[in-house]
Amino acid sequence: MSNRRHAYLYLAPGAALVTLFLVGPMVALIYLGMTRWVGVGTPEFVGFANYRQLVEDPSFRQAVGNTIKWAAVGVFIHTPLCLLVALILARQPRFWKFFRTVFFLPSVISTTAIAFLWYFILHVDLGMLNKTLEVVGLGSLTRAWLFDPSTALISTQLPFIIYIGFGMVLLMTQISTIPAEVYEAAVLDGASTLRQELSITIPLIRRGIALQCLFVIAYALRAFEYPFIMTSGGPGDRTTNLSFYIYRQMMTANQYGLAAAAGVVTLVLGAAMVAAVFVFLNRAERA
Amino acid sequence: MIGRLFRWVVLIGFTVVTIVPFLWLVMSSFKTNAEIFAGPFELPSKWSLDNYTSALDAHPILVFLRNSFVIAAFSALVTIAASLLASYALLHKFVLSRLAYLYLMFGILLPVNAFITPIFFLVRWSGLYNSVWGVGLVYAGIFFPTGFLIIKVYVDTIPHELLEAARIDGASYHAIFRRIVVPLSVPGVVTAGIFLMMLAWNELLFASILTQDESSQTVQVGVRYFLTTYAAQYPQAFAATVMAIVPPVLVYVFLSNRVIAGMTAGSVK
Amino acid sequence: MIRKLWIPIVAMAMLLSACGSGSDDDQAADGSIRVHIWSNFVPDIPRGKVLDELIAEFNKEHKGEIEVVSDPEPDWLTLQQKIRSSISAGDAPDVFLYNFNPNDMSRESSGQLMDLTPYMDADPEWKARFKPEQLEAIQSDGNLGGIPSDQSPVLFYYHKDLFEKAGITEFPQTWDEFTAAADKLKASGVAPIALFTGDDAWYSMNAFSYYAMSVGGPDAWLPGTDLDSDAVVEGARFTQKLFEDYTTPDAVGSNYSVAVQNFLSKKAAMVVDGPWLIGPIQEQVDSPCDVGVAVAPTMGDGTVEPGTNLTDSINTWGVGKQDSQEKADAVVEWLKFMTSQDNAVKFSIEGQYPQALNTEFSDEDLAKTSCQMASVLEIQADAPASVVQLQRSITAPAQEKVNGMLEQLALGDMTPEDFASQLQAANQP
Repeated sequence: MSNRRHAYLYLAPGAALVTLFLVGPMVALIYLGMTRWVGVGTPEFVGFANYRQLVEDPSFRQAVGNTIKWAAVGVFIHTPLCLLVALILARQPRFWKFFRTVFFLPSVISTTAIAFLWYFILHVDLGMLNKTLEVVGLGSLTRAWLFDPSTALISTQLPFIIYIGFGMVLLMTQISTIPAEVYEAAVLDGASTLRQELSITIPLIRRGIALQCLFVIAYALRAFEYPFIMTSGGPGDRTTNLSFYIYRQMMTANQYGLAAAAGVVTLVLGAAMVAAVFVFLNRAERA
Repeated sequence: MIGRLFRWVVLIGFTVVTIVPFLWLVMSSFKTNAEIFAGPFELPSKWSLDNYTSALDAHPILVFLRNSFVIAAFSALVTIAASLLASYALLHKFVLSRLAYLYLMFGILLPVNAFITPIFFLVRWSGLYNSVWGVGLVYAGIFFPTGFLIIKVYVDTIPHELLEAARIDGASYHAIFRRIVVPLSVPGVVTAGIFLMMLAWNELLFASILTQDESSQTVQVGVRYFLTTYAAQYPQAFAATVMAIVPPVLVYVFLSNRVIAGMTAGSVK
Repeated sequence: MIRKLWIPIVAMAMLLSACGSGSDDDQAADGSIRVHIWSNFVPDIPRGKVLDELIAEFNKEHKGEIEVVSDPEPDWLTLQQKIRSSISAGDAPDVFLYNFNPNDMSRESSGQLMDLTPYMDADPEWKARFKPEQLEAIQSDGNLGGIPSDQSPVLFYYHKDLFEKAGITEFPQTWDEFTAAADKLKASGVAPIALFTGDDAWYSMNAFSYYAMSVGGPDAWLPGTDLDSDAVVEGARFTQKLFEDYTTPDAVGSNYSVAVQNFLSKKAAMVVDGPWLIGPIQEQVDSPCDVGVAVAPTMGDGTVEPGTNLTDSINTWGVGKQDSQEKADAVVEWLKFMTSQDNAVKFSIEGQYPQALNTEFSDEDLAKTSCQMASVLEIQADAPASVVQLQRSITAPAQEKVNGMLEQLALGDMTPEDFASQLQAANQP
């Protein structure tokens, strides 16, 4: 009985933080989503008009699609890369501490600077990529990577895909909690390293992998600097995601109600994607 | 053999794509604006510390660094403390534990950048506007689910027998937390600490909305002084960015090499 | 373990913050009234330097009574967001810079702004510093919540040497001449004009607006005008041609900082910009006086009088309501100081920031200034009329749509006709 009372006491600080800074603003957001408001004065209640406007806005539909694509590259390309590097480094090859520090480096450089670098790498006539392609005789492949409608989105996602620092640290610490004894039997059986990783390590860190997927999806919902700096959401909204859409609706259009409604849609979309991850994890646990 | 080759290809490949931006940033911080735009991948015409000194002269970069550090450390600390407490409470299943868990973690999906207005009101009302504590508390709030999820995974790996044994020995609810849960969660605490401090270190939107002058502005806000719409001084901004990288790298190296290595070596399992 | 690790960190954090916690509000340490100014005048740009100098001078004169403090925010959109939030929170900043937009009077009518009317009535000399039509525009229900700050003229800046090399002797007077000149520049291996579509698509919309004005006259986009008009269609067609033939390959999707560098590094021969460009010209162009300033061409058919120029929106110094009469007086004291003849000259010449005030420039003043600023002041004085640029005159939701539409236009995914009808659709109040 008293344990339960203690439990509530222990939950209180976390619950207070969440209530104050996440749930409270969310309630305000849900309300604002049903109003028309320019950020000053009294919001005017308009019911679901904002949601109707969102559905009819091609930019918004594009932003939803792009956000899903951000989550998809995060889960299916970025996360496997993090896992690959974490598995390699966890075996402590030569210089592993050096590599671990180096790979983490991009996480401490501000996203703004990294976005700027990649803007230049992919730039149409100053860019390293086009120059390299010309030197190696692949001049026909050169293009305005950021403003060619077919390559713009993946170009803005590229730095996110290849900078694996956070995911690597997360998975490595997970792997480090596996006791060495677990592998002993497998080593005696002569199982290859690959075999060991696939049948022992990965299943044991599946919760860590799910956590990483969750973080990646959360990031996809918040990703902002890359489209903002590299393409300004263009060409013609092809790199606009929900986070950038909300920013523009608030800061440029002063349509706070519409931005809030887009925020509510973001939450629902995120919840659906996370539910998918958990369904998958549950199935994996049972299997 | 093929496995080893593959391993080195992966490691070296990632090293290249990682080192390049860092070198580029350092190199660009020695150039002029015109040089950056004329040849972004060429060496600067002269190597001088002008951009660094003028960046330091123009704005109190060291004060910004201090503010960033205080905010990052304070917000990480608050989040970690609250996360440890909550994770421990949720070790014991009770009626609402599942619900409490969902309540604490679902916020990770919220589009926090849409919260500018409500959070501005909240901070203003609490009198913490233009204060490092205000920004720190907001970070502690919006990054709480991230810290909580990381720490909970570790707390959950603590063997139940250990807790049970302690209880039988007569340890109180609080004593178990202090003597068993906290020490055994250190790897998680460190990982979460690294994550939370980096998140706080790199955040820009709230830092700029909730602060007003250099007494509370962070490095990320400070760097933008060089990037005004009218006259973007990229080289100075990059010089400031390079200076801003040093502290987090030191923190990371210290935390990862000392603490993680130390903890996992003397394994408790 | 935990304790060992965190206690020093907390202690350090506490210590660090203790030695530099900012405490500021309405009162300074010596008991004088503190007035905060919110603007984007960071000390790194000329106008910010001038503001800081004026503040220092003012504070010295009013030592022990008033202390003015500048709290600059470099990012314009963030600054505007902070101002809106503060007004909503019932605590408008003392003095703040914002872009006046006749389509959105929410700030002026919020009830949170001071009324400067009595001060103007009591001091006709001060009132005479301003243009009556601008004071009229800013006030809402008889409440004058601020004073005009600047209305920057938007003009063509061009590299005379690049023009000469291409065989062009003087800046084109008509759009036909303009196209001919652009072809020559292109043939000489340089992009004729720098454009971009990110941020507020400023350069692109400047060129667009000048052409549209030549077609539809100075009232082509007055609030309430149907934008699905010949003027807008032709402006869009012209802009589309600029993107296809006459600009740098990175124009679509890039932002101000990229486009301005294209002009400064002579990759592009001209640009349509405001006077803040003058500072970077002095710093980065080898012989700065080789950059000329000109008004835009016209159709030559008298639809607009030659010399008519476009301007940025009227930036306004808004003034928050004060509880104490004493502080209100202090704020007005500062405003009067800032807008005096001498200080307006200083802002225009040293700050490269022409004021929306009735200001006289002596020959001595003009001699001190840069080649470009002298031309700007001259052109402005001779202009038969000034028109606020199209993008600054439409509703905020329409402004938000413009970037994407320009990009689609540039990529050929949208026709000029669709551009006009979609702009009209987005411009509903």
